[in-house]
Amino acid sequence: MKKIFNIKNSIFLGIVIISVVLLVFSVSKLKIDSTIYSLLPSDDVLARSVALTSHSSVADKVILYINVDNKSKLDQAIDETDRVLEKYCFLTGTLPTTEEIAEIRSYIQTNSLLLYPYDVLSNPFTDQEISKRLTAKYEYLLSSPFEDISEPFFTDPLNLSLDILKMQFSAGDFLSVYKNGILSEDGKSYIRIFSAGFYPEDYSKCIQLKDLDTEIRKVSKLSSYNSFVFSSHLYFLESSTTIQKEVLFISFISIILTILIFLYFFKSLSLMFYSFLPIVSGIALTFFMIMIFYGKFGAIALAFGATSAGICIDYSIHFISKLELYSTLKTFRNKIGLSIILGWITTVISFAILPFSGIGSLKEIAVFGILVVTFSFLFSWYVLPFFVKPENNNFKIVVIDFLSFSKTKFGTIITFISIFFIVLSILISLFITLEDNPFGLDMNHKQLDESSKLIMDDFGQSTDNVFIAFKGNSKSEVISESIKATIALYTTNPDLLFLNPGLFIPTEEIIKNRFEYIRNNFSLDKFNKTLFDSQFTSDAFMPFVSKYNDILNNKVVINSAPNYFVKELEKSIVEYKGQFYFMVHIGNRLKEKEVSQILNKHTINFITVDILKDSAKGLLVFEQKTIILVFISIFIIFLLLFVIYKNILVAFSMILPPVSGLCMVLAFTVITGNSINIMHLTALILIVGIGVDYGIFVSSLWAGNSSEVEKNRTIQSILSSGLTTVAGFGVLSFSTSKALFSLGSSMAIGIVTAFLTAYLIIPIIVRRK
Amino acid sequence: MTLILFSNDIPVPENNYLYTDFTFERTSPFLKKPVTGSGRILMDGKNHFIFKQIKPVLITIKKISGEISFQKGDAKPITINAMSDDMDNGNIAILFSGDSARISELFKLTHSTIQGKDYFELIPRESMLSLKTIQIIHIVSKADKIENIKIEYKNKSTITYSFFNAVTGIKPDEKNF
Repeated sequence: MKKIFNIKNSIFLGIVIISVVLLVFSVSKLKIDSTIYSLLPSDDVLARSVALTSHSSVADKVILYINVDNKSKLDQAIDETDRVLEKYCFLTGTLPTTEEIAEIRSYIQTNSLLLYPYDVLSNPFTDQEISKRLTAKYEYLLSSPFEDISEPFFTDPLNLSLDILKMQFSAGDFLSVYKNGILSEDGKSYIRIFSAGFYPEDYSKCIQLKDLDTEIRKVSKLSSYNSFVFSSHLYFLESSTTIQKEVLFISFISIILTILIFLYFFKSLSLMFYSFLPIVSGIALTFFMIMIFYGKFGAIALAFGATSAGICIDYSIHFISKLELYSTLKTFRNKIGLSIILGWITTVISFAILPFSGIGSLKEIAVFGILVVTFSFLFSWYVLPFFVKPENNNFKIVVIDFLSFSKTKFGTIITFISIFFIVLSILISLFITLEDNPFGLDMNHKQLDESSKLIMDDFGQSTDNVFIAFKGNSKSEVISESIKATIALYTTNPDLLFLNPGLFIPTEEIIKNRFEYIRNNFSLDKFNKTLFDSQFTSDAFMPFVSKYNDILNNKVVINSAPNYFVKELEKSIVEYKGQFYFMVHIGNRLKEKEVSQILNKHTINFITVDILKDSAKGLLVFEQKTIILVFISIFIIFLLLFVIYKNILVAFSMILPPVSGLCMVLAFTVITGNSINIMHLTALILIVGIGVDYGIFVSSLWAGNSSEVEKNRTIQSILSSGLTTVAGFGVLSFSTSKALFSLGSSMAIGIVTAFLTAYLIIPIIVRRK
Repeated sequence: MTLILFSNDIPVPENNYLYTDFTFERTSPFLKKPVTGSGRILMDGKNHFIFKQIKPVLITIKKISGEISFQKGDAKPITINAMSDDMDNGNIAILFSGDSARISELFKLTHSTIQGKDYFELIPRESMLSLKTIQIIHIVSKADKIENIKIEYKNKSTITYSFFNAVTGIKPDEKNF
């Protein structure tokens, strides 16, 4: 009892408690960002696309889907889901209600004189047209048994409202609403589109959407039909919750594996506790600093952080592995202190290169990596020797005779096989391809992708983030551009039309032009004369005449736009860096190409917004840059080692383990048919930083006057530290996130190759010297 | 405008079976003379009916298995959604709904019986924007047969339907569907 509660252990316990409290406090205060956007290299075009897309109405869109096998069951299914929806009052419908449709019809009829696009459609004011249109108006009445012949009907004697509406019909019959939703052609499927009122990054609110989806799926399953809720929020939420769960799981497995590997080699629980002190304190201090200076941190960087124990333990392992070989701390540091410091510096250099990528999550990984490695190094350098002193060392560690094994026939065969595979990997790695799809880094969303396909097949509704955005300095400028675009598409290819509420809210300039047109082309006398011969009384269209007189007197005669149009227009316009953008969701890339061609011909001020396309170019440039950065970092480290050791062969042998690890990762990617993504590249940089440590430890001993015991113990220390690193990163290979999988599998392959190179190949090169 | 007749609160033909002829008259202070016409209605269950206006223009509105179509003359029928307002063809009355909740949501309904006949008055609720131009709807019926429907608009226009030769409770001839 006395032995346990001595001063040394009390200090140890104090540091551990402070670290754990600091860690729990920091983690609880940190906000996690799991958006895929933090994985994209930033440039102005992409930053704008991300900002515009994130705040477009599509980002806010939620779709309720119902499918029945017999269409007579549909009403019952809609009513059932309606009862579930009642509990989730934050959702607001985006399709017009029956009342809003009535308001829209009335508005268009009442203001038809000023809403009719005279510059596109034929002149409705010629004698012949007036006569034809008045006859059509009467015939329309005869064929519409329940037509409401109230005031709006009489403000539009020439049926202009039908022509105005036809311009929008090609863009989808948005006024054909069935139970506040849309029916598919076969009448068996139904969707209702809502606005969530919050964006996908708002995870706490997204949980309510997930609950709604779960409940609707449950209710529909009981009644034997298919129903679900679909939105981009659910993709974000699934990625976020999965990564959070996996980070916890990965951390747990990583720690367990690291402990098991440690205990295998060192057989001492107390030694393990002391050795883990730098890691626990380093991670706690890192989280604390991040919480203080960042507040919000990327999930990818945190997942990386969960595995950092595998790197941090290296300093403790190198220290305790060779503890019994030296009598004092001073001797220990004289002998291998430089290697440990160089190991720390080269790892920090490899992390420090990551921010040059310009990618948010890689900058975060760099910050996390540099902090955690530095804190762990400092703790193992200054604090660990207080608990584990070479002078009082009485720990017994397992000793494996690596040197003898490498000299056996079997060891020689393995050496040659290793050389063969490393040479082969260099050749294969020449065939790498680069990944240009940033969403390839996300996890698979099987259920959501299936839902998306069903909606696309039945309704052509897409959540692909492809937009046309009209650009201008003011809201009226972008509305004006959108109207020009609608007219251009209507006259060129009406199938490409999009719903444009702006068409029903003309700008002052358009109204002014239409005033001019009406004054120049319409004659009240001619109209009255034709009216006299019709079935209508001479005073039937007084509201219309009154509107015309207002126009003659230059009065503002357009009514306030229906609330539905105002809301839709407001949602479509996004402000970004002082510019206004009128966002139109196109969804389909082929359609976007056709639309763009027409709009370019008509010199309309617009941009296309497509994150996939906008990021692809930047992503490829980034990946090419990173490959160059990897070579630069290798060269910098090589120069540094050459300056310190003043021997080109030693410096070369020191960088050989990371280079062979790097080639093996590239070759593995080619063999498995994958393209190199940014997480593979991150792994390459880390392999350079970690692998060079192995090279330094082995080459410096073999080049110097070290004993066989020292050499053997060095191989053992890099094996045990390599195994803990592989244990830390290797478990990332179990992640469903392709980003984490790429990082984990690459690190495991790279570190194993780096170890085998250091163990089997460096001794041959340096010995030959 | 969505017009719902024959709901549970006003007479429903026995077993939802009905054959009836009708005439109609539409008046308006803005029409030189009233528009008149005639036609017939067949009903075979809640979700099967034909509304056929024969004069002055042939119009056929069919509801079969819940799907409603509109046909003008010999033109190709257009499928319309039950609760929608179709823009090209004017408003469509949704008959035989049988949805009493919907009726009371749309109208304030009063009922009186005089000399064996039922008199109903339907006044649109103020909140129902789509019905704001209607002043009142009068319905006269005897037992399960509606005899007369008159819709009065606020601008003094009216539409009056008179039904005759009505047969209820007997399944109409299937070939008519």
